[in-house]
Amino acid sequence: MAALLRRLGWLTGRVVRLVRETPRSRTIGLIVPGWPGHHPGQHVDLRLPGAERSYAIASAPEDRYLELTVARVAGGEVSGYLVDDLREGDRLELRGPLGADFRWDATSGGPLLLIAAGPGIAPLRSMLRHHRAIESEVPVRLLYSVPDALALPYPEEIMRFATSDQVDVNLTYTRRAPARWNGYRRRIDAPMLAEVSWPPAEHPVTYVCGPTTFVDTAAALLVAAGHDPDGIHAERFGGGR
Amino acid sequence: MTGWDGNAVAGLLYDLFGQEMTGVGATCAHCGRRSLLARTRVFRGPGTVLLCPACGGSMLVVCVRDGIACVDAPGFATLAVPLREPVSLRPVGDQSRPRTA
Repeated sequence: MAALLRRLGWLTGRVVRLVRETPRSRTIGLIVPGWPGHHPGQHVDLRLPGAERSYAIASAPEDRYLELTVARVAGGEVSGYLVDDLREGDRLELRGPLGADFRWDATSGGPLLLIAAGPGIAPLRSMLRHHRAIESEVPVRLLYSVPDALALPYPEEIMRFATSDQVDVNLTYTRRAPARWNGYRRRIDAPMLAEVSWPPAEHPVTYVCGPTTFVDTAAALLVAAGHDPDGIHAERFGGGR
Repeated sequence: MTGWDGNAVAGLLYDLFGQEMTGVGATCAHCGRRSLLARTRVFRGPGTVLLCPACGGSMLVVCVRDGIACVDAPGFATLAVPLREPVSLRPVGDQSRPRTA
């Protein structure tokens, strides 16, 4: 019975680092005494007065701080506070790590297919950082959709991932591409996924994260292209609030 | 307010079952399809509703008020809850030592 009665306790994290990523988003670095560690892809519940929200962990297990990249959503009081008002030294109540399906580590295998839109990159950044930290030989393909260059978080880090022999990075700009951009400049579609994805016969382990409509579209396209639905791990943001 | 999936309610499910539940499979009582709870669709209103991703049928309804969770499970034909170490504390794929204490 002991396992059944276990509670997931709340911990107090101290904000030690704040990094502006895009006009809408910020990465919050925390020191959390008692933090048990996490698997890349997992998330935390954050508790503020009168509100609870889930945020993906953007850091790797090997990193010094627990990092959350939070994007402001329209009318979102919690995300607005976290992105604009939180200060270094502030404390946040959180619990986790949570999530048993949307997580990757060396034992999950590959090849790895990572697909994200907007802030959905956060848990995939944790996977990519971990992949580099353990010098994994698993080949990775990333397809990342953003409106424009201004909305691209961690641009230098993403370019650094791309210098690895194991990691193939593909960006698509859906609103405005940078000057002299010769990559994709449209929303994801079947031809794009066919070019970027591993063939279904290679049984990729796939993670898709982003707004619900994006995730549903990507997952449906993958299944229509012959990918095994069981190999597709998805995380949907929903519609704000 | 719909649009989330079961990942978003991992904390709530942990409160109810005392362990990480999103990797647990449930069989829908309406259509018979088996899904991981992570892959259910989630509707949040006055309470939280988990819907079958295949047929949209209501699987689990949870209302929390005054520290009490009222749980209605109209849509589980089966739910396989492992009685062992919480999943989140074990490395993925680690088959060693089921907890004995």
